[in-house]
Amino acid sequence: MLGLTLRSMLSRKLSLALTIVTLALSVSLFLTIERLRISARDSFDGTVSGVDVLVGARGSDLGLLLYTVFQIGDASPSMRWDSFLDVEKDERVEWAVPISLGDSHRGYRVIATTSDYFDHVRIGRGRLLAFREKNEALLNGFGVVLGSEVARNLKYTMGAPLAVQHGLASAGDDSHKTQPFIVTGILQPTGTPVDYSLLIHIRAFEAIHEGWNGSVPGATIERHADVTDRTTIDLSGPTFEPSLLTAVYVGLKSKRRIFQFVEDIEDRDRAEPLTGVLPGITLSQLWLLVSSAENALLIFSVLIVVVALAGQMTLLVATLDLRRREIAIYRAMGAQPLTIAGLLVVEAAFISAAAAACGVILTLGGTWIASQVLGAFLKLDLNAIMLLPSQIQALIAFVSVSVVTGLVPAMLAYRSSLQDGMRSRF
Amino acid sequence: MTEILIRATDLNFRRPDGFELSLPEFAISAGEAVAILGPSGSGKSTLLDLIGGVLRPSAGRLEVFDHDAGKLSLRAFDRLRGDNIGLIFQEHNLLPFATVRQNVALGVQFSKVRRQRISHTSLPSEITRLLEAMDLHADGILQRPASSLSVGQRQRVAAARAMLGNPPLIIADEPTSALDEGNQKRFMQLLQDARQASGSALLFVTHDPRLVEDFDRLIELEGGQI
Repeated sequence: MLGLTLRSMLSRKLSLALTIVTLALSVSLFLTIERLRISARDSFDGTVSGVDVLVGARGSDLGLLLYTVFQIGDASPSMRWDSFLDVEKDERVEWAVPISLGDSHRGYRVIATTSDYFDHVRIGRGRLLAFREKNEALLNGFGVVLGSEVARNLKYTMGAPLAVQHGLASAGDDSHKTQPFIVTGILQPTGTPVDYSLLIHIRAFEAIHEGWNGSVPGATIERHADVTDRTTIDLSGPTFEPSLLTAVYVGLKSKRRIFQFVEDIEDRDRAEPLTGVLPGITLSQLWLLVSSAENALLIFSVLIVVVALAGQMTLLVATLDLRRREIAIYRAMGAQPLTIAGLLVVEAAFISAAAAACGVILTLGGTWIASQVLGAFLKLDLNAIMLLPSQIQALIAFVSVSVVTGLVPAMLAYRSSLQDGMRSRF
Repeated sequence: MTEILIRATDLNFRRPDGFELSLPEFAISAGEAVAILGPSGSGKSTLLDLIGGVLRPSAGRLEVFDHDAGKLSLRAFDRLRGDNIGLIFQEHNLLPFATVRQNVALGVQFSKVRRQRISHTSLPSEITRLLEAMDLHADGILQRPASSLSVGQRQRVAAARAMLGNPPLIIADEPTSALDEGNQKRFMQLLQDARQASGSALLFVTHDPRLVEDFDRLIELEGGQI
């Protein structure tokens, strides 16, 4: 009987294929929206794992977090290096990693920091950054460590020279071209904005801006033109000590003192007013802000699936008329009404299962393409997520609802097929 | 004593449009060939619907294989029909997308009883036997889709399907109406030979008096009356 059902379906392959494509597109849309939402959250949450407090110049909590960690939005004002040293010396602080932003390389952000970044900043569920390749130099001198996507997209290998550009200009700015960096490490993918970043030492960052007045270029001072291995350049000493930085990632010895620490950081009597951001709480505020839009998007995609299911039911009912002869013959041969109904339900289940499978393939294929095209823009690792348990449950629910919609034409067939079956005139 | 397959006593059926079918006495015995002749609107289809369980009697009694047709549930009637009645329709009665073999096999697809009746042989060999009894060379057409057959071939395949599993009664509802005269005679001869070989009774409904030779009995219907 299954063979006959399949042959019957094949005889209507065009209409069935169109139905499956329509359903698959709606399933894919639903899965993609959910996937983007989860990718965004995972990426954001994973980026600040292990950072207890983010300290920056006085301003918006969310603005500081978005700019410093996720490289989104307008540049935050700089804070003084002395303030960083104060934070670092605080007895409650276990570690403090300075961050300076502002330069870029072919559209990818440059993060100026120290080697402590690799020892303390964690991604995902507490994982330290892992290297795909590295040498001993890392951030020594003019060493640069590349995020995985930077290396992959720009096809850089270890030892390759590259020049950073001032600001975010993707081309045309050659202010720093006489002070190239050497690739000393390439990171493993993290699924966070780090993949789309280049890491240099904050003192090298200071060195390439020597003689500048803020963001206004001065005469280029190149002290190391004769050095063959630029990773051995000694940048210690007061000449290259930064005066300003964007923010500080702070890890505390005890989490219980975190609120007191933030209060002290934000104390207006400090020499420089600062902002202390609790990344987890600020991110929760962000999710709260965007949750309405997320929910609207989710409802919209669910509605699309519902409309597609209604379309499937319409098609099954419409094909009932075309299939009256087929169903009538089954009835005349002794098929029980429930058998006929079962055939239609099996067909509905097959259509929805095929649509779900095609939808998953479309989603995986679509997000792979999207990650190639939009990955650098979104800074999300869309490929990191396969189907989540909740999505598998949603697909099972989709097939189940589809089977239920198949019951409507099945009931219609149940009522009409006996008379058709006993009479040969249609 | 001859087994009675269908027996109607004072059977009456009234349609909402006022048409009335009345059969004071009517029976079909096992192995018997009965032709019902009548013009359109004489009540032939109504009688078949009553025997098949689509309609229920308004009055009187109709026994179908020893069951009171007025009291059988829908499911029970479905099973009774599938087990005991082979149907041949007027036209377009094969699944166009299925092969000849699959179409004939449908005859036993939904009935364990009919499958058991041919358990002494394999299904493929029984299908081949019936197709050859209907003068169709099985080797050449078994795997062909039904849609590729001529009208005459399709009707003979349908007859083979109706006889698969040796149902005690075969109902043929104007099965030759789409055939030319030569094919009509050939079909009738093959049908009669095959059903005699299997021992089935035949209830043949037609409006064409030329086709009612070679039947054990002829019943003429006119305005719902015998």
